[in-house]
Amino acid sequence: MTVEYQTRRGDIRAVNNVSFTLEEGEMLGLVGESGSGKSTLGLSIIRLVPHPGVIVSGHLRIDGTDILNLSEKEMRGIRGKKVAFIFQDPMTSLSPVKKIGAHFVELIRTHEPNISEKEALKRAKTTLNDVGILPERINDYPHQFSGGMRQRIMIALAIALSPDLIIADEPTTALDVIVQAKILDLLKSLRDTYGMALILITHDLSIVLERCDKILVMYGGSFVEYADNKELHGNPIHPYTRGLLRSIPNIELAEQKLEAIQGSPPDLLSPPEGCHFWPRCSFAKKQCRMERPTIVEFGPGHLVRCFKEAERF
Amino acid sequence: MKRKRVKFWLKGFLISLLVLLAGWVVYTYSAWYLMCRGVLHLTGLYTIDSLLDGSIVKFVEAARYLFLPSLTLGLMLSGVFIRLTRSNMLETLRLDFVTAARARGLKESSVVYGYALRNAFLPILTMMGLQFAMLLGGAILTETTFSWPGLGRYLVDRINFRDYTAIQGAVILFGILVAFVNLVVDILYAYLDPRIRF
Repeated sequence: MTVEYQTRRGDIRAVNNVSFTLEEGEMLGLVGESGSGKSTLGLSIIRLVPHPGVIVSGHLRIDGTDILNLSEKEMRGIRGKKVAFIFQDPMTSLSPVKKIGAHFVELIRTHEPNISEKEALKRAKTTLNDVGILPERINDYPHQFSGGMRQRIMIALAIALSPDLIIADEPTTALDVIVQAKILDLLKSLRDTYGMALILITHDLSIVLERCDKILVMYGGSFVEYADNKELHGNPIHPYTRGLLRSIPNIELAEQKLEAIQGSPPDLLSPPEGCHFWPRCSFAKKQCRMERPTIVEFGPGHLVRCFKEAERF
Repeated sequence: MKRKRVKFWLKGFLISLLVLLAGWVVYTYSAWYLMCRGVLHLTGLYTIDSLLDGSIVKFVEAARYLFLPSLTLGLMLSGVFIRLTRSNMLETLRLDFVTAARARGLKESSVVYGYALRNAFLPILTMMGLQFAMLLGGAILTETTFSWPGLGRYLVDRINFRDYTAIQGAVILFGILVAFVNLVVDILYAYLDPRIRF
């Protein structure tokens, strides 16, 4: 999949040939810095990349159907019903003039028109109960809830129609750490009960390491490393992944100074020649500056885009 | 000032255009007088009077007289609202909850009207209250040119006669109307936006 933002100053390749598969009930962590294209990738899954973003090429199959070929009307049937999205900022993700219940009724009745308003409200109440919001509060307005509660409501809206896939785009960035842990645990337990697949987009590798089955690391719009949680944690190959892992604080090594990755992410209008990461990579060689590395399979299900690895074979 | 000039130009333009092309828009006072002979005179509002009289034909007649002046007044004010609605909608359509609504698979029409327009409406409503005063001011000019025997023309007539009591009465009535409309606007705020409570 490739997504570009076509601006006046030139095309920005926000997502460059990234691909992955996700099985039912799996939890994928999508990790990367700001501007690495992870949110764009998430939005392109429901074909809502904001203007002037365009999905240039690629395939996106859900249950075998390529959703990039669907009409806009068919696509609406997918959004919310099969693929649900949870946004970053719960404070602004609900319409302030609509009651919580109205959000649910509208969602349920858009996708299942035969359901009466009463029944939709009843279903909304059960879903709210599932995420730990008192069902009586269904007639309240969004401003009467705190940020954490609103994110719970957003999650309830996401699971209301039991979708196959939930994409959570930094669902906890706007919340404090305690609420953050609660929300993430909630997402995980809902995943366990309903068995939907989940994509967790975040810049915080520690969150992903704690909860996800598989991890995809992105850098500058490109695929960097993809592996099982354990494999990535125990055996990171790409220098960028290693840098990310080293920058997580460790309580046992409290004395040790945290390491940061030097430099800043590339300007995607004019990305560096060769490997996107070479200006910040301590292993960079001449080859890295000249050519773009291809993706190599290091072990079963462990893919890396780096020359350093290719040399080992 | 500019808007007034536009209005005068519009009036001249509309009178000639509509009367020449579609002869069905009658507009002079004399024509109105002919029509209204024999109509019940209860409220002084001719459309309502004709309805009270039980005559649909006369109601349609009365409405025809209203058509051109209403169009002139409305066109002048519409510019403000078109611009305001446009800029507010553009701003609201960029907000998160609009994207979130789209991500839930709602129809584009319910996203635009149910989510964006309802949230963008508050400033438009404020402007409606404020522009009501402009509307009354415009009515004075419009009624004079269209020879419509309304409150606005009454005020102009009385000014010409130096009839101070009548002028005071008309001005106070206008003032009360403006205050009342703005009160209604304030109450509607709370209805439109649940975050506002009095």
